[in-house]
Amino acid sequence: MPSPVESNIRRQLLFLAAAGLFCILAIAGWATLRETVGRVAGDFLYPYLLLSRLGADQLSDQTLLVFSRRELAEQLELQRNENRRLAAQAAAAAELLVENGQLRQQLKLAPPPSWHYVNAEIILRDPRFWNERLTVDRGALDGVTPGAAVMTTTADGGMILVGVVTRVTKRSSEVITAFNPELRISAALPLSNAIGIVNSGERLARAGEVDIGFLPVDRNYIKEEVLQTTGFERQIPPGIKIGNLASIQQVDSLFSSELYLRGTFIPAVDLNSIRFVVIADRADHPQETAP
Amino acid sequence: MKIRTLKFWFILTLMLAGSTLELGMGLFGILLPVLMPLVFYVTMVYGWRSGTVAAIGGALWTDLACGRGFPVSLPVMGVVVLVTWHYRRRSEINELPDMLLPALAASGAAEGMWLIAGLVRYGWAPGTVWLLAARGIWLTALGMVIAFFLYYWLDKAADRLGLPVGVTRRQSHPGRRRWAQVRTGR
Repeated sequence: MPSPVESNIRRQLLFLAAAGLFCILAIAGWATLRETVGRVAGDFLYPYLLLSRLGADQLSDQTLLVFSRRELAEQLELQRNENRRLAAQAAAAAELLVENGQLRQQLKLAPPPSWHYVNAEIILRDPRFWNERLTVDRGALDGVTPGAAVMTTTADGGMILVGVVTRVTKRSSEVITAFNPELRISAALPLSNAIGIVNSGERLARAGEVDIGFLPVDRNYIKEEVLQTTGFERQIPPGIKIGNLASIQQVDSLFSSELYLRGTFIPAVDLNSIRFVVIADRADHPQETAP
Repeated sequence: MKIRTLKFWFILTLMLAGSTLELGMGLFGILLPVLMPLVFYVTMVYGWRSGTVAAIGGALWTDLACGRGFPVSLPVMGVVVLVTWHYRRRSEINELPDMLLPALAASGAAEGMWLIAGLVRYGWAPGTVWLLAARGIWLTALGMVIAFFLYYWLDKAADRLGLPVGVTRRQSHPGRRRWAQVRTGR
């Protein structure tokens, strides 16, 4: 019969082995488990994730009371003016849309893809990888699908790309941004007439910059030129600003055998002050149009 | 209520609250290391087995909530348990201020692991290394301070609940008695 000391050591070893095995299984099966468990957990955790957002909203509502009536009235007036300007812009765009439809009909071209937009609020950010991943409060119930583009607006009403939806639960969605190495989308540089792939170069970009690869060699790249979405990805609208070119690999075209160039760009989105986003998804989704 | 059941609920509540606080502050861009000090406390007071269970649970919960592609908190918290356990077994520190050294070691080990994780993810560009290292140094100091104060406050809470507390346990530690002999010369 083992002594109490031996029995204790045996018990401790058994616990250690079980904990180690559990950790190995969790790490090995993470990629597979995350999809299924994560989907269930996303719905289950939704109220929990919403907790901190509710706290922040309460705080932000309270800060409104700090303003005087005069300040609030001024802000309201500014907002009304802005709404009038945007309404005029939307009306002009609607006219162009009708005209575009007529022209396409005359040229016998297929109608352009239509998009539906969903407003969402960020409810969770990864504290450790803050710029890489965020969770929004809209999910499958709101028509969000994986691969949908997530955008935000600039002060002048322009759209800029925040990221792409990777995982969708019933009430929430996970979004990865350009800072996340997992996000690989095509990006066009209209001024240089070139197309590259985001996050396909070596991860040696400086902080605040993202690398871009597969850029053609025989182009004259202009520093700070705009990068846009190409429309090659089915669920990302074309012409959405991604960022500005920061640097480009310098090669001697006479002696170099490089087929493509690498570069870096600065994403246009300011992830430090973002709270609301717009999710764009194709209205004619593949599942709906499939024969 | 049995002491074991009470201990279980106490640790579970701690880990859930800590995780919520860390994630909640993260939403505002404030990186507050709370999970590490909690694992440090649980390991120091209740032993490595409770510490391991708390570390695994807390790490998986946080990684899952954040939707991370790899459960990176798991090895980090594992290292925290190892370092804390090393100090609990080997050292003869007894007073609460002496907790600063183990807290610094555990916090440093955790941030070291996060630094490695960051370098694996972002590469070895000089700017990136400097940024991650600077963040690591700052968070090591912050983690140490949080771990120290949490130890104090949680000990008080545990004392009220009738649970074993760290300082009392350490005061009855053989090392404590030896140190008392050295100090008093008896």
